[in-house]
Amino acid sequence: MPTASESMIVHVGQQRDEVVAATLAGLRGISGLRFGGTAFLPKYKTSTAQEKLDIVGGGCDYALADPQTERMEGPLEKRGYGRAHLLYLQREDPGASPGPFVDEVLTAQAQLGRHTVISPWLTHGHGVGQKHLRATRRFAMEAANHPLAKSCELLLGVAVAGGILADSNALDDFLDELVDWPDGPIYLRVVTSTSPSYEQLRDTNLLIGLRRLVESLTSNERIVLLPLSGLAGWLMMPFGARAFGTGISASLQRLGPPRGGGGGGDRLRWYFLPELLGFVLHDELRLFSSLPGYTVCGCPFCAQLPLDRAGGDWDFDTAGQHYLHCCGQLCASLSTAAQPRVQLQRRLGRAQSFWQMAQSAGVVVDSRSVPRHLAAWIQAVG
Amino acid sequence: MSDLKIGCDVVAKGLGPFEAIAVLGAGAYGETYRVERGGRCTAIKVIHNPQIGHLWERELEALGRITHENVVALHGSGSFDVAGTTYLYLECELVDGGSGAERISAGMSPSTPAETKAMFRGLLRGVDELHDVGVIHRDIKPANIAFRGPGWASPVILDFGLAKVFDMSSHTDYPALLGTAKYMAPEQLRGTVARRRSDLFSVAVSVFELASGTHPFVDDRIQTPQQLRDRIETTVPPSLDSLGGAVTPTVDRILGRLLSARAHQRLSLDQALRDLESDDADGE
Repeated sequence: MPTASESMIVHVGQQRDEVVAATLAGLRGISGLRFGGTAFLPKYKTSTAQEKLDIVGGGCDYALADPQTERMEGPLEKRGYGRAHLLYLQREDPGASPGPFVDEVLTAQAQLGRHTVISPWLTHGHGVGQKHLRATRRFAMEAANHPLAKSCELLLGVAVAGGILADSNALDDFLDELVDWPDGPIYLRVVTSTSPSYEQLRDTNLLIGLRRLVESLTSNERIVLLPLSGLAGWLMMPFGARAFGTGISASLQRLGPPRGGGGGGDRLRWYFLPELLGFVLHDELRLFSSLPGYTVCGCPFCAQLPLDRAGGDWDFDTAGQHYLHCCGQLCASLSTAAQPRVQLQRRLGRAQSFWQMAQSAGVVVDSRSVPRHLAAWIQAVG
Repeated sequence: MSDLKIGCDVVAKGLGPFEAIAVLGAGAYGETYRVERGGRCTAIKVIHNPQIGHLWERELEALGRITHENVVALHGSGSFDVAGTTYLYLECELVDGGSGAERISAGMSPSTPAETKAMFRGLLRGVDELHDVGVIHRDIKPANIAFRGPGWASPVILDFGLAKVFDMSSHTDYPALLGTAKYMAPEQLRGTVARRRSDLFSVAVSVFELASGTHPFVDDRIQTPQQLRDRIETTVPPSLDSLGGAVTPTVDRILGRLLSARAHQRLSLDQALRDLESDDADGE
């Protein structure tokens, strides 16, 4: 069950099955790490979704089928081509018939063998006033009374725009609403699209709001899961978040909304540098590798394809696997720490010191590789 | 009770015959009568606006299923016609120990921390029962709390769910502070929807006043609901202990949390009850 103890939620995207299996096998080798997985229900036809969930379920402590009901905010034709088997995606207005809509969402997950089901949501902050939040509350109430809530663990799905968290009054209103919902763990998606996906989140107000949200819900005896939150979600673990989620592909690594593939351009050759808790361009590794405090990565993926060597080769999937493995190590370091907040503050302090040392040594990197997030993170967790 | 809009005669004509009938109280929306029929005494609340009846049908159906020592028992409800006018009524258990408002007026208060705690716990349990059947009271106040017997240990919540039918415009239209608004949570004073934790705020205000004779936020300078809301949102109420209330530190702390301006800063009902239990375990 995702709520049993601290864990990382691995979001499985379009990667080949063997890549996913290898990624999960690598995570299993991390001492003290508990992790689960999700696949997006509307992304696939039924058989593919089942296959992905079977792989995830076989390699993780739990597997979720995320219903991605924020798709309901868009027009019918954009909710998922060829997904007619998902009845809930065909509804014109889910708020108009919440009972049947919730039944279809929960049933779709249960039919894929899920023992934990997630109630649907619309994104608070994307609609007019509190319309989406009221609808989501209604969905939660319907779900709490649904027969599947008795036989499965129910997570109450919520999605909120980052702007709500960054606004103190709006956050207070949001919290007042959430604490009055039916009892149950909250599966909280935070949606922001303010910066490119290769950057870590560095909106201080949003991060402080997210921390307050997690702390308040936790003090109200709510378990909070932060899927698709990336390392911004990891930052929240010492403040009560039971799980944070991230994925291999860039669009799954943080709070940004998942996007489709394509684009046609060359992929950005990024590399997650644990010393900076952020991404740098792969070609820049040589600038850091000679600095004191730099450690050659010991993850199984870097060992196979030495991404971490200056001038080494680069591969998209391997870079994602390395990133996920680092996230697993970071998760385990907090979930097993006697004093997680102190541990987090030390970790951030080390990252800041490493960057200052790099600057002192004259290291000049692409502006996209500058770890601007660290100051915001230190302020948010201070 | 010379300003009654309904009166004993109308009620007797509509629902009698009774062996005895007397007025218990009158409010802005209705009147309550003590009646005796077949040797049994009950309380009948009559409302003089039949248009609002459908608004609490669901609550009445749910409340009819409640049997709890801290919630008044509902014996029946319906309507009757007299002289071409339709009246709604509720018939409830008659609770014999007087209301909280009467006790405050008489200068009575619990004399030991144990009595205050028992009253507090009883009210929370009553609210818990209401919430369990999906009813938010919205109007908990000393006038809507009665006691079984002369002590404080068995409070009973009255008039459940009726406030739903009266929106804030009913209160804010009045130039002076209405009795009901004094006990409302700030979110209700803002005119937003009442939540379960709104009832907890009202319980805390009521317990505070019953135990000390003093309202935690209202003084002579507060004249309107808007002023009251501002006061709640900008000040921390005094501790009950500082006002001479018979209270343990734990109960004082719980009350303080339930009096928070923001619903999410209040304790949950379960947590409040658990903390009271731990207070017992600590021997306080």
